[in-house]
Amino acid sequence: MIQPSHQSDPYVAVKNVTIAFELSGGRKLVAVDDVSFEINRGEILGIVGESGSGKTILAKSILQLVPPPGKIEQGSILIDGVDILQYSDEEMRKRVRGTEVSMIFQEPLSALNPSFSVEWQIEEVFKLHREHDRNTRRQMAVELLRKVSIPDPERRIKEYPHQFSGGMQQRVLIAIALACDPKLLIADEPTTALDVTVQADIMDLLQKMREETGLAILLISHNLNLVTERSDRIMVLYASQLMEMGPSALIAERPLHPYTIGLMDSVPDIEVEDQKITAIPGEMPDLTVRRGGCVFQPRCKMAMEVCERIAPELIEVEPRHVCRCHLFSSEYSGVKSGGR
Amino acid sequence: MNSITDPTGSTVDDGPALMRPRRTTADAVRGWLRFMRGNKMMMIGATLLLLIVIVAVFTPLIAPYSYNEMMTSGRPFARPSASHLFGTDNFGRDVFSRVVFGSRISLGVALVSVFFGTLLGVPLGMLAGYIGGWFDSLVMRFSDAVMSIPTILMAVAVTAMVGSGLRVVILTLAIVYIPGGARLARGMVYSVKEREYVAAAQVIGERRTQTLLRYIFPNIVAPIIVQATLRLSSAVLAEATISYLGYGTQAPTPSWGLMLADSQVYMWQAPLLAIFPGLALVLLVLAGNLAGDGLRDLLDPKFRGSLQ
Repeated sequence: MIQPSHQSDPYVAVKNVTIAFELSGGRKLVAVDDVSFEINRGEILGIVGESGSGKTILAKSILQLVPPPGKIEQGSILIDGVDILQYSDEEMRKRVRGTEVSMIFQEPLSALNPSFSVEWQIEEVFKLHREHDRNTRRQMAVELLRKVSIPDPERRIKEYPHQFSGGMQQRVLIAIALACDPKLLIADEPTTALDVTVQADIMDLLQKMREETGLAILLISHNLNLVTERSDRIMVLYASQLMEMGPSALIAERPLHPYTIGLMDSVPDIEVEDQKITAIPGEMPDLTVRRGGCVFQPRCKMAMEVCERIAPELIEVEPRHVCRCHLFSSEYSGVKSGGR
Repeated sequence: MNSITDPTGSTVDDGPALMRPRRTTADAVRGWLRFMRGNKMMMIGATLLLLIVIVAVFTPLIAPYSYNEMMTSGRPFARPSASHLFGTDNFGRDVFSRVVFGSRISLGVALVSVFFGTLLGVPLGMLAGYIGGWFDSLVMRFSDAVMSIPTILMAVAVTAMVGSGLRVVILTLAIVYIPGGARLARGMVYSVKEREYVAAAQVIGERRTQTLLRYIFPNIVAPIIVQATLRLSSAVLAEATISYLGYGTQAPTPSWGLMLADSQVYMWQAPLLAIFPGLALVLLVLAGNLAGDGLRDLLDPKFRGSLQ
């Protein structure tokens, strides 16, 4: 088992992870390019990025469930200081999946097994990781449904996934994911498929679980508003690279990277009238082709001559706030701070 | 919000069974019956099939004579009468009794061959679809090879190996039915294994074998059942064909196919000799197809609404 270490140490530390997909014809798609980040206990870390930016694959690597032919080519992933990339599939199953790290998905209905009752699906997690007898399992399953605020859990637990509404399905999924008290929940677009009102309920529930159990949450979304509102820190991915990472409040207030700024400007603000919504022109580069300069340069409004030649490094612009852009390097730019 | 799977607009508690919570067996049976009432074709098929099964099970009680008993009192080629409902054949045997006995051959061969074909093919296909890679290629090339051999040719080959008779028909059909089951299962596994609940099973730490059995298999079983049911009728026909050509059941066993072959010679003198076993064959195949189609609708929640 993973021994809990000092509370101040990060719960999960992802270090220089590169994930690539070997394609036919010898081509290689780099889905995650040298990304490092940490998740603390009880922290909500948001990952923002457009489709194909590598968000989900990065998150799944913590469970070692990168879909084939994808491979974690380098780096290490430490959970409580132990490198789980050294674990076999068997060890992952016994020590990590479901008990340390769990995950919920975008489409709750398709993430539930349609052939079995909710009761079966929750009890299955207990069967895998705990040695309770049948009665205890039953009681715990009902208790779990009560915890995720499903009304009348004794009756509803016998029902099948399609008999629940979308929001209730997501609650069931959360119950299954949290059955064996994981310390980290990966929430992959948990509210994208739901009504706006239900979205808020689900996010409230996740935050409640965090407060009650000290659960850390890795919140994946392309919805910048949701992420800035709900997470403690944000990391922005673009074309498999980490572009900016920092406390949500800071990034919401003063985004540094031109891409983050572009993302912010493309989201309408309900309080501003006659607002211009600007899209980021162009599209994501082909990830199978390695280029010399900055990956965002072709779409960047503030691109300089150097951006085409030299790939920028991550720069700590202010404490705990990093950004991958030449605008903030003293070497290539006189400008010391970006902003809008 | 039951609207997705409940196009009938009925409430959760009284809908048709199967995909719903099976509270009691009685509930399930009632649901099935209600569905059948809504689907006339399936009702006809199922009733007919049930009738033929009853005939096959209670053959000795229903058939007035043995299939091989030559009538000392009667004469060959007797017309239908009270004592011989379907008349007698060239040997003076009671055609009605022979047709009734024939139901056992037809149903028996069909059930056993489809059962073994499915039992071998489906797991093979499921493994191929789940594991993929070289194993998948191997299984699929094997099934291509088997599929490229026509059924009749296969029957000839099997005859050459194990001699003729009922077991030839059963063995031939079982072999012929392996690739179809394998292909269907493989294709279904391929589509289902990409679903999120399979990924979710991995996330909670489920084993791969359990994932295949508990998360994939239950969700592909409906089409497999339907395929097997529809195959029953094709097996009945195939048995008749093989026996008709002389590779399968041998005289005096009353296979319907064999009876058709024997009566061919007297086609002009006694056409009824061919008509009765032929009619039995048609009815059984029709019943099987109607029941199979209905079963497909019954097992597919999307079809329910349009039928009721």
